Amino acid sequence: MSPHDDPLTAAVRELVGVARDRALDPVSRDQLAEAVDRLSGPLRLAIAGRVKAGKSTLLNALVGEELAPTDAGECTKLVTWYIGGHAVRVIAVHKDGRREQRPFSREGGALDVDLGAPVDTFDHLEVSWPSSRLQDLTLVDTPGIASLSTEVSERTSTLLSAEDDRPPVVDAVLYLFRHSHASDVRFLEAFHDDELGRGTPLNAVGVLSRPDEIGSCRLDALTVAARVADRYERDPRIHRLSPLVLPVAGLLGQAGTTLREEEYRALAMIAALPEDVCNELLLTADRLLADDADVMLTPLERAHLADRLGLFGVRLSVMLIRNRTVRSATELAQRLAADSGLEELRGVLARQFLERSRLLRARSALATVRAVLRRGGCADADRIDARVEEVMSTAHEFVEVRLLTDLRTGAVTVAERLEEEMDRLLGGSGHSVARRLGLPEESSVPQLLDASYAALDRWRRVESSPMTSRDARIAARGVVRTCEGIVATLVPARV
Amino acid sequence: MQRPARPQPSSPAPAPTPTRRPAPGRPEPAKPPADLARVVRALDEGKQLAEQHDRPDLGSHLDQARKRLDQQVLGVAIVGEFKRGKSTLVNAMLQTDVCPTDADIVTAVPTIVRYGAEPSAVAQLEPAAGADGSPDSQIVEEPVDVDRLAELVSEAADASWRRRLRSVEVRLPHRLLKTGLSLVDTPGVGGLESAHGIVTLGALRTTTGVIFVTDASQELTKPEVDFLRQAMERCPAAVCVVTKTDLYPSWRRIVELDRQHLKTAGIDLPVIPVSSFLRLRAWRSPKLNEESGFAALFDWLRTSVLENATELAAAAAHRDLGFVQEQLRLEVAAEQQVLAKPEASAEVVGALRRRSERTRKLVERGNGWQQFLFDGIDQLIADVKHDLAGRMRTVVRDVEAVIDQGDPKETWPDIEVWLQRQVVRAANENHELLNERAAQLATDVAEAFALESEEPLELGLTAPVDVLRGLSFDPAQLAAPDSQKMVRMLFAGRAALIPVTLAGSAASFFAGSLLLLAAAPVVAIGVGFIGRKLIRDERQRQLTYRRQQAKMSCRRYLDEANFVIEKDCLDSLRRTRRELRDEFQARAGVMHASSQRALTSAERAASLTPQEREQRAAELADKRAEIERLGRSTRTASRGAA
Repeated sequence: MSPHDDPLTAAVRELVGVARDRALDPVSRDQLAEAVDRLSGPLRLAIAGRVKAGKSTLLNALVGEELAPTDAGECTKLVTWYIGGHAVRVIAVHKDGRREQRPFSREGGALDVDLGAPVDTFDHLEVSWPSSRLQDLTLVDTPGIASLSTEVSERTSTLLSAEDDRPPVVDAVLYLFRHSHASDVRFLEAFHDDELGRGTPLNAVGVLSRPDEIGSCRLDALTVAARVADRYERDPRIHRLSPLVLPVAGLLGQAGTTLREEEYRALAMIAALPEDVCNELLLTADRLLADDADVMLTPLERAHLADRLGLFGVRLSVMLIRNRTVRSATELAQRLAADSGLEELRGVLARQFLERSRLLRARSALATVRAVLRRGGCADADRIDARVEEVMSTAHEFVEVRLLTDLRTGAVTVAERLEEEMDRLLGGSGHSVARRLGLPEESSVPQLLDASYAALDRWRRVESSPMTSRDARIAARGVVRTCEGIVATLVPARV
Repeated sequence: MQRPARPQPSSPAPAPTPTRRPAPGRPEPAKPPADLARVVRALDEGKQLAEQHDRPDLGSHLDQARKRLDQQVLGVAIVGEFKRGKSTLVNAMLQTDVCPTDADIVTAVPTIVRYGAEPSAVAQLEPAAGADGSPDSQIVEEPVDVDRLAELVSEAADASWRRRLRSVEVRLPHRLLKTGLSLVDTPGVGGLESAHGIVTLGALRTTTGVIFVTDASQELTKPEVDFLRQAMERCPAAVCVVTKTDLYPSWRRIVELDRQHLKTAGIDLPVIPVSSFLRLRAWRSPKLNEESGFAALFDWLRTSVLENATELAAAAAHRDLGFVQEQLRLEVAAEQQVLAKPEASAEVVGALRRRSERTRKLVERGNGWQQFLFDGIDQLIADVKHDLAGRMRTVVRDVEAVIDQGDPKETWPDIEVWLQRQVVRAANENHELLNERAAQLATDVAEAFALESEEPLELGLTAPVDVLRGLSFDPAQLAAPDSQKMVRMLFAGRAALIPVTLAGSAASFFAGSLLLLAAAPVVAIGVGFIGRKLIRDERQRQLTYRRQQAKMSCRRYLDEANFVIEKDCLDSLRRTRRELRDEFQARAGVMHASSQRALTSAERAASLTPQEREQRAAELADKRAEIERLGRSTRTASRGAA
C-alpha cells in the first residue's frame, strides 16, 4: 500500500485488493492486480481518431521528441504505448501475452522497431523512454479507423465489436478529427474509435487536427480553424461527448518544441531573399524543393524544412521573420508553439486530466472490478458489488463526477443560466478552488470566500425552491455539498 | 491560440484574382472532331433529298435529329469528399471565379456551368412558401447576378432562400463549354456516405463523365474507393483527380499510393495530379499552366468524354439517316421492281397493299404496340409502387428499432441523419429500378412495333435488298437486311437515351425532390422540449413518450417522402409513355406514308408502256443512286460506334 494515498484511493485500493484475493480464475486475478498497480501509475492518455488525422505527429509534439514514425502514407500499424522510464527499451507484446524485447534503431529521428514477425501476431508495442514529459503521462498511439489497408481496418473493427465488459485500458482519450461537415455521417466517427476504452464527457478532449491545412494553407488558416473548432464545440452532439474542442497543429507544435538554431538560420535566409524570389520559392511545395531554386540552401536542407514545418509552417515562419515579429530561434519557437495550440492543449491536460487523474484512475479500477464481477470472475460477488456501490455513492468526488456526467449528457437539466456555473463548481474546467469559482488563480482568500458563500447561498435556494424538479434538486444538493467543501477548505486558510 | 497576422501583400499564398472572361489565345481542348460537322452536313443533304422526293415528314424527322445533335449536353459531374477542392477545380478549369470557394463554408446546392453567349446565372427555386410544398407546384426560375453567386449557393446563404434553392445554372462564354460540355459542381455537404452522397451517386447515371476529386493531403480512404466503384458502375467514363499538389511536398507518393489502392481494388481509371492554384494563376504566365497538370485532365475530357459522346451522337444520327434512306428507297425500289419484272407486278402490288394495310393499323389508335405500351406502363407503375412501399416499410421497421434502442432526446440528431440517408437510398434504388425497367419497356415496345410491321416489309423488300447487295455498299448495314433488326437497333439506340429524358433537363439534373428530402429536416415537434415539460413524471414514462413522438415524426416524414417519391416516379413514367407514344406514332405515320406512296408508284409503273418503262427505269436508277449515296461519306468513320 502506498503511504501517499488519499482516503478515496485507499478505499478503492483495499476494495480491489479484496476482489483480487477472491478471484476465481487467473485472467481475472491478473486484471485486478493490474488495476491495483494502475492506481498509482501515470495517467494513460490514448490518442484516437480516423486514419491520417495526425495522431503520431501530435504524440511527438506532446513528448517534444520525434519518437513515433510519421509519413505521408498510412504509417502507424500497431497500438504503441510510450511510457516514461529510465532506460530506453522496446517491448513487443504478442497476442498470446508473451512479452519480448525487440531491437530498434533511431536513424531518421523516429523509432524503427525490428519486429521480427508479421505485424498481426502482435497485440501492441511498449516503448520506454526517458522523458520528463512522460513522467506522469503515458501516451498511447493508435492506428486509427477507416483505413484502406484492409488488415488495419479489420483489426480495428474486431476490437470495436469486442465485448463491452472489458476493462478500460486508458484513463482519458484525445479524439482527433479533421475538418469535416457537420452532417457527415462520419462526423462523429473519431469518437467511435473506442479501441482502448470509451471516452466520456469527463475524460475526452476533441482535437481539430491539421488545422494549418484548412483553406489551402493560407496564412489565415489558423484563424479559420479556431472558428471551426468553436463551432464544433457548440455542436450539441460533440458537446455531449467532449465539451472541449481545440485546434492543434501537431507539426507546428512539434517544430515549436524542438526548433534548432540552424533551422532558424535557414528560414531567416529564405526570409532575407528579395520579395518576389521569396514568393516564387514558397508558391508551391515543388518550388521549395526544386533543385535549381535561387537560394543558398541545398535541396536537402529545404526538404528538411518542408518535412519539419510543412508548407504552411515555412510560410508562417518566413513571414514572422520577414516582418520582424520574431528575431531569434527562441522567439520563433515560442510563437510556433503558441500558434499551434499545443500550449493550450498541454494546459488543458494538466488542468483537467492530471488533476483529475487520481479520480479517473480510481474510477477505472472500480470499472475493472465491476467488469470482472459481471463476468463471474470473483467469489462473494454480491458483497463486493455492494461495497463498490458504497464507495461510488459515498465519495463526494464520485458524486461530483456523476453529476457532471449527467449534466453534460443532459440526463439532468437545470435552468440554463445555472448550467455553466454548475459545471464549473463541480470541477468541469479544473479542480482548484479558484477555477471552480470562476475566479483568476491569483485571487485572494477573502475574494474566494465571498464568491463561495454567494454560490452556496444560490444553490441552497435552488435546492429548496418548489419550482425545482426532483432530479435537479438532487443535483443541487450535490453542488451545495461541493460549495460547503470549498468553504471548509478556505475557512482555516483565513484564520 | 494566437491569431496569426493577416497575410501581407508580399506573402506568397493569397489566391490570385482571376478574370471572369477567359483570356484569348490560351491552349484549350480541341473543338469537336470534324466528324460531327460531316454528320450534320449529311443530315442536311438528307433533308434536301427528302424534300425533292416530296416527303416533308421525313425532312422534319431529320430536323429533329439535327436538333438533338445541336443540343446535346455532356454533363460532367465533379464529385468528392468535403473540402477536397471541387469548386476550385471547376473554377480552375474555366479560369474564372464563378463557383464560390471558402476555407470553411461549403457549396450547398449543385451548380451547373454551361455555355452561354453572355455570362448569366439562373437559380432554380421551389415555389415560395404558402404552396405547402406540394409537388405539383412548378420549379421557379429566377435570374440572379453572377457576381452574387457566392452568397447564394454556399451554406452561408439566407435560410429561407436556402430552403427553396434547388440548383443554380450558370452560363459562361467559354470555349471549353461550347462543345456542349457542362460541368456540375456537386454539393460538398455531408460527405460521400450521406444522403447527399447517395443523391449524387444516383445522378451520375445521367452524366457523360465523372471527375472524382481527392487531395494530396491523404491517400484514398475506403469510403472514397467504395464511392468510386459505385460511381463507375453508373458512369464508366471516370477520372480520379488529385488536387492541391502545390501544397504537399510528398504529393507524388500520395498519387502513387492512390494508384496502388485503385489497382488493388480492381478499379481501372486514370489518376491525374493537378494544382488548381497554379492553373488559376496561369493566365498571368502560361508556364504555370503546364506545371498545373490540367493538360492531362483536358486530354482525358477530350478523348474519354467528348470524342466518345460525339461518336455515339454521330451513330444515332446515322441511324436516323438510315431510317430516312430506307423510307425513300421503298418507293423507288417498288417501282423499280415492277419495271424490271412487269409480269410479277400484280404480286408486288398485292404485297404492297398488304403492307399498306399493316402500316395503317400501326397508325391507328389502340393498336397492338400501343396496347403493349399502355399495359407495360401500368404494370410498371404497379411494380414501382410496390417496390417503393416495400422499401419504405423496411425503413419504418428499421427506424423504429433504432428509436427503441436509445433515448430519442440524445440520439435524435443521429437518427435524423440516418433516416434521411435511408430514405434517399431507398428512393434512389427505386429510381434505378424504374429506369432499368423503363428502358427495357422501350426496347420491348420497339420490338412489338417491329413485329407488327415485319411481314410486309420482308415481302416487299426481298428483291430490292438483293439489288442492294449488288451495289458496293456498307456491309455492316447489309448484315441486318431485315428491318426488324434494324428497327430494333434504332430503338435500342433511342432507349439508351430514355433515362436522360426521365431525369429531364439540366435543371433537374439531380432528381430534385430527392435533394429536397435530403435537405429537409425531419421535424420532430417537441422532442427537444418534452424533457423539460414532463420533468416531474417518471423517467420511463418520459422515455416512452419521447420514443412515441420520435416514431410519429419519423412516420410523418416517411409519409411525406413516400408521397413525393411516388409522385416523381409517376410523373416520369407518364412522361416516358407520352414520349414513347409520340415517337412511335410519328414513325408509324412516316412508314404508312411510305407504303402508300410505294403502292401508288408501283400501280402507276404497272400501267406504263414499254418505252415509258425504259425511260422511267433510267430516271429511277439515278434517284436510287442518289439515295444510296446519302451519308455514305461519313458512315465509315462512325461504324465502330454503331
